[in-house]
Amino acid sequence: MKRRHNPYLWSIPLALLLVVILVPYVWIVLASLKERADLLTVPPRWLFDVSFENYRQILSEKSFDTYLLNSLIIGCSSTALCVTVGTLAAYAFSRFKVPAGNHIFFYILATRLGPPVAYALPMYLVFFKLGLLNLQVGVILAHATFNLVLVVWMMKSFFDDVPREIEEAAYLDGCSPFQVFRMISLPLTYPGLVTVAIFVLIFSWNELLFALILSAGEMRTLTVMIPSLVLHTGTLWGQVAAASVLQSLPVLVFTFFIQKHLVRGLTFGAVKG
Amino acid sequence: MSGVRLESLCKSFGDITAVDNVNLTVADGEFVVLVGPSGCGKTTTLRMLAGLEDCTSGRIFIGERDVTDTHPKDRNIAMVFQSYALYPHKTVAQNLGFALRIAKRPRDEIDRRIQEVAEILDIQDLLDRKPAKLSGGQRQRVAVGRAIIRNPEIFLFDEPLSNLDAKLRTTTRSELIKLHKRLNATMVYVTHDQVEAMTMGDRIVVMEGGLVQQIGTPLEIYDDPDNRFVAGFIGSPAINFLDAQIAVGRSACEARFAGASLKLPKSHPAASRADVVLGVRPEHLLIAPGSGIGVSFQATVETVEHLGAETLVELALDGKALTVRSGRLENLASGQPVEIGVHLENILVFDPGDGQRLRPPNGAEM
Repeated sequence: MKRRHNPYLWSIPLALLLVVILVPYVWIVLASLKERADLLTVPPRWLFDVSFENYRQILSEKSFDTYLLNSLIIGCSSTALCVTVGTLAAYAFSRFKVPAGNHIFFYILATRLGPPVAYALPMYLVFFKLGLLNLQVGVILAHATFNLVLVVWMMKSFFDDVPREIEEAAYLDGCSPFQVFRMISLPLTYPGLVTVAIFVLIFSWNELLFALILSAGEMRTLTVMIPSLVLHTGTLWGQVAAASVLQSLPVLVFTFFIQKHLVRGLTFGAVKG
Repeated sequence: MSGVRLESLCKSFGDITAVDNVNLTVADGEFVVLVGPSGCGKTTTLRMLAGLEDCTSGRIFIGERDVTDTHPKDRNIAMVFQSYALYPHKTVAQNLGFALRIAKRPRDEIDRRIQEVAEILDIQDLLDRKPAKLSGGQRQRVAVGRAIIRNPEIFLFDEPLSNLDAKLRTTTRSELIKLHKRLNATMVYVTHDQVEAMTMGDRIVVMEGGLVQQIGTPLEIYDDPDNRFVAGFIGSPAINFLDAQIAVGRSACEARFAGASLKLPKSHPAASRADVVLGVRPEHLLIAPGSGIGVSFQATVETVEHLGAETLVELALDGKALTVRSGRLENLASGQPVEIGVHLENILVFDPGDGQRLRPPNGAEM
């Protein structure tokens, strides 16, 4: 007799994990709406007078719009750069005989094998020598470099899943190699491409370390602006919470609308049509 | 349209030789079938002709043009793949018109050609569908349509019927034959199915181990195989092989098997050998042949398969199985001894070592 699994049984560990992930976020959201006096009480106060003062201060007094624009420019530019270069490289690795291709492919992965902080000092020195400190382009390059591995490795697997015969048919139909890439292979990996781009954008949007060491002042991103609310005289917890919520909102809304697409992209290639 | 010429074509993958010194000339408008078992080099040969595989050595000519080092896009060749290789993200119409779009043909010409081809292949209703919404047979038609739309010099087919069910395969086979007659195009067709090869090809190229074993018309290949491999590969049910010992007398020699003997002229190449292999097609073995037959021997009926119009009988002879294809036979039973006869001219003799055919010298009779 076939054993029936109780679906609710499987939900328990999932629910526990969800609690671990969501409780801090819920705390942050609630903290952003509390007065300072209600903020650090033990046990936490669940009923309180809702105040938007933290949001007002963040939006009007902390140049939030400047940092938001920086994050947008750096996120979009690094994503565009990284996806463009990474996709072309992935296609080359997938379809052409690249000299020492296996080694290069591994070295790209090696950029993520060490802790990011290990790369921070040399990268700071290089960017300092190149005059790229405190410029958006410096952070864009850093983010693009560190996310390249994700694009190359994921896109290569997507390109590997495109049947070679389809490309060969395109060659016989008169396409040049670049036309085959642009008109056949790229559209066929489109769901994967979009997913990868979204991940790169989110990673760049949330990245702190390199944005912190490579930019300062007006060039900072949102993630760098939040720690600046930790002052010598104390931490502005309410504003930290409000800024964190504001920073996470675009990603939350964005992910909510494209979640179907994300799942499709992640499973893309698993089942061939 | 143009013919094709392959000169000493070789292809190696590391230490493995996939195609070994293939020489082949396909005439303008001819339908040539490359046939052989898996791994015989037929698809590799076709892919080299298409330009999808570099050749290790040798030359490829389309018409008088040497295309050995020419990119596939510049060879003016169309190919129908085993998997059809339709563009999944494009509609049928876009699939059909893609090559013309790449060639920057005017929009109205592309639309006109799509309609013409759709009409020829009876796929007018499918033009707005994507390949995923098509059946296997419909995909096959679109793949053929994509090939014919741009009037290429050469058509290549790489086992295009192998993904179709038996009934559809038969129908599509005859449609491709009609299409060839209609277009009068040069076509090179690869298959492992000898029935397809026999029914479709003007000429057949039998390949094995990267080598061309024999080139000829279907009936030449069937009636007059050059070696044991060709004799065994072409024909269904397969040819029967019998081991025979050679005994040389004063004026003639004899090939002896199963208590029977086959007289061969002394000038026959078999006379210099101790053993030979005899090959007899199933339809050439006659049950209860009566008098006047060349060779006769006794065998036992093992199984009888009634196919309606004809009967397949499996016989046991000295522990070996022989297949007989006969007209309808109703009174045979398993275990029954029967006399089997063969006309001399229907016995093929092969060297047991290299499998080459041992043909009687010109003018000599078996």
